[in-house]
Amino acid sequence: MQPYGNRPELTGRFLVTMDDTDQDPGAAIRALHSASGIRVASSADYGADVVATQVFADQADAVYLNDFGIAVVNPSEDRASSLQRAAAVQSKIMSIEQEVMMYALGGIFSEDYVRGFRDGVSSLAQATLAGDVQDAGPSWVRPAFDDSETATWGIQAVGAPGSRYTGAGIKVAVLDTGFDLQHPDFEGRDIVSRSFIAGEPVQDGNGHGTHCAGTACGPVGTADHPRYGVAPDATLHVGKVLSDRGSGASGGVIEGIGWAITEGCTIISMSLGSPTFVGQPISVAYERAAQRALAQGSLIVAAAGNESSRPYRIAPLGSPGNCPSVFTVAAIDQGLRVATFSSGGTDPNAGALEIAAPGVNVFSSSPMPQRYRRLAGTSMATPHVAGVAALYAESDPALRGDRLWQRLEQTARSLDQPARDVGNGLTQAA
Amino acid sequence: MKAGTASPKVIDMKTVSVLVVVADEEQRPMTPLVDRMKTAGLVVTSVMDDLGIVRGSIEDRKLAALKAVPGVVDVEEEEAIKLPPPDDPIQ
Repeated sequence: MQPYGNRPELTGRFLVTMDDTDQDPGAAIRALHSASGIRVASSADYGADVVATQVFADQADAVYLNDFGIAVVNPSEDRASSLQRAAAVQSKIMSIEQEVMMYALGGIFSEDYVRGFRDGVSSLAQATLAGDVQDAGPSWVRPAFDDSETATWGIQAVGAPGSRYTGAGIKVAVLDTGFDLQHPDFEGRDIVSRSFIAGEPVQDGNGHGTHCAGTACGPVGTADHPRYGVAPDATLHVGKVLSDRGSGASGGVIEGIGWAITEGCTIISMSLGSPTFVGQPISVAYERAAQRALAQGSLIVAAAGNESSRPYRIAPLGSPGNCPSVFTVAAIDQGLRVATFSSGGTDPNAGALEIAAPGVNVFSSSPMPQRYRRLAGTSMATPHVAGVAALYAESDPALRGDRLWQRLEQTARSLDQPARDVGNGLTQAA
Repeated sequence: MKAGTASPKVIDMKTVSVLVVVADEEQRPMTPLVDRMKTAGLVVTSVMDDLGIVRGSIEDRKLAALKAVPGVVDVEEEEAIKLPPPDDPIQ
């Protein structure tokens, strides 16, 4: 842990580098505004000299420096979280940096400073593409992978398109808010379902469950959409353990686990959990359920949690992700860096983080009429691993329970980041 | 309240939802053990024989009695789970 006194002094402002390859400042400003709600003025309105004091005397939340493709965003806690959320869904946002005091003497942006910053981000992006970045620091840079017409970036990153397996014959349970049983992308699929929420049918009135199930078991690509499902031929088992309002209790989740085991599900995907604090005892009930599941050939894959604000706070794993017998998943972005929100294996007395998977800007199914949606979170990373596990399970009937667990760990791609943050690395398909 | 009288004793009858984990070696079905839990005050919601877990609710003042039932290794309050609002891009 770095001592607090060594941290650079921050101005509170954010520097947001936009993808400006299309040389269209208006489009960049609109993209930033629509994703974040932040009011962005154009530097063109200020004439040739861009001086920060002008910016902050004005009413805008931010100013976009047209010549450099960088937005300078005034300090505000709301804007900080808005930016983080915007970056999760808006691919034109290349990086978000906290401005360091030493660079902006007197609060004036010199042209050299801004140009140097832009060059720095660009070279970092190129280095990331080349795969030779050792430690790029806290910045968030895309992309190592990007969505294509045939497959989402996440499907590409886990290597699903190159696998000869599709999850055929493997039962995958997704315990969540249910599923849109009328979704056209799943027409003709055999879906087994059960609701554990009193008074609510399996039909997903929230959207979370439909998105997660889509990533685990969604279809191959068509003319309408790219491939977004890792295991398109797996048999989806939908256990509704969270209400349409997104709430539930550990007892309902454990009932769902019991059901999934009885149904013979080889993988149980759980994009859910409760925040914990370091030193909090693990749930004996969740751990028992996970041990019994493994003994009966069912692997529970669970989300790490979204409680971190990296680089300044790394929250411990949620529950049940902190159970030793639960296979726990961190989220990484398109640069294959741990996502800013992803919780980490920081508690030495709790279970570890096992693996990482795509969890930023994830395209998947959404209840009709919306049909598709992009979301971020360890909830989105988890079903990528569940799908990959289904491919391994199909490849070898001996890969069940503990043996499936070990195979997933052994085949993960090392990411050169702490195991606390990414476990064994990026999950890789059979 | 008159001076000198004891304040009325408030009996808090708070009921909690719990998960009861039974000893690994416990026989299945767990019917005799579940009956002992009921005697200790547990209102049973579901019995999961395969997991060795019983879900139920109980007045919190009876928790100690439930924990003391032979064959019970742990009693924990259920954890609440709350997803972010559906319009939050981080899930």
